[in-house]
Amino acid sequence: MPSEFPTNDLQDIWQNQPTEVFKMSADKLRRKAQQLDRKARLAVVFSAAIAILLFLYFGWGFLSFPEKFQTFGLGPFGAWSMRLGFGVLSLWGLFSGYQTYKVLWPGPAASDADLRTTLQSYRQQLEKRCDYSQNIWLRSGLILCFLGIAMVVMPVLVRDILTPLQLLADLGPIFGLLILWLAIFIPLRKRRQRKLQVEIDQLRAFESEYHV
Amino acid sequence: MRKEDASQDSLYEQAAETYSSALDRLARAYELDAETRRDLLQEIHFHLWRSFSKFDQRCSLRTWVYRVAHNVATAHVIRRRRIRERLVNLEDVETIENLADSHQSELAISRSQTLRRLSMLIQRLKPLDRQIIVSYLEGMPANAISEITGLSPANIAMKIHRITKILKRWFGEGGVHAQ
Repeated sequence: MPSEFPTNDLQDIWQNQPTEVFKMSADKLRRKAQQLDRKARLAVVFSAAIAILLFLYFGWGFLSFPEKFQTFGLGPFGAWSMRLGFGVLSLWGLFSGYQTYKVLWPGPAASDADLRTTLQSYRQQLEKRCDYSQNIWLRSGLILCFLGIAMVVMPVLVRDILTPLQLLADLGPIFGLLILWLAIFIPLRKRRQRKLQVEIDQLRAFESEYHV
Repeated sequence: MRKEDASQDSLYEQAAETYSSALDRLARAYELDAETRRDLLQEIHFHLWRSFSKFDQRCSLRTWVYRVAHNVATAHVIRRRRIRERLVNLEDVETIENLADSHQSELAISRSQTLRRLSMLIQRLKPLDRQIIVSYLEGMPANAISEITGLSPANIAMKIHRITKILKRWFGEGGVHAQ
């Protein structure tokens, strides 16, 4: 027979649904924690190695520039711009390594799912994402990276400006990739940011409306 | 083993023993796919165990367990939402087309069908409303839900009032067969 008060039925159905027994001993969890920490540290070491390689590669470009690039037919201004560009890219390598360390290194913040109420925790997670998305050019060092690329590319652009075919051959692939990346990255970032902001605003309005 | 570690372990074991089924149901409210759900459940247990190093008894064990579990599950939803359908507020629940079957809601439906529809409904809600509806279905009083979510008890009471109205409309007047 149908019941007279369906919502009580629903609680009963929900609470008596079949569940699986999940068991993990504390020792196993401790080992898992150690494993995760090791894995995270390894990931940091790996990214640090890549950052150091980038730093050394571009740094070498910066230091060995006079011998290597004098034959490129760049004027003194162009040569210095290119050289400084390598220097900036080298710094970007270091900066990106540091940022990766900040994000990945396992610390006390790894388990941030406690203490706070779920509303605070939820809003903070959204705000963290939104903040990163809003400041992605600074946070991920993209400004340094693009500044470096611009300084390296500009002298070649100036040199080849009167010979379009040469310009296309020298810089076409770089600009092609850049345009493709920007065409995908910018709208995606804006859309994600808009969605996050709407949700954060909703939560804030909700909190102030009901004096949470 | 250090004294703190032993206390952390024993708190976790007590929580896992008492709330194992509830945590499984909670994971079901956040993840339909069985394989991914198992990973989520493992993650919940892992964070729970870790969190007990900071448990200061200022709230009950139940509140702590649900708070940690909901927070881990919410992070899971936020991580995976890009590949998911649009999530809605409780107030916008009528916009879920697949579930809005007015003919069926007027008929009595079986317990398994009800559970399936209920799960589908919960899966489409935004995390905060999901936390409230799951806690309500677990039979928690408004003040306990308030402690977990951080919303005021009055606000929870209002939300629960809306939830019961929505559930009545969806699972309706026909009720549920006891099969």
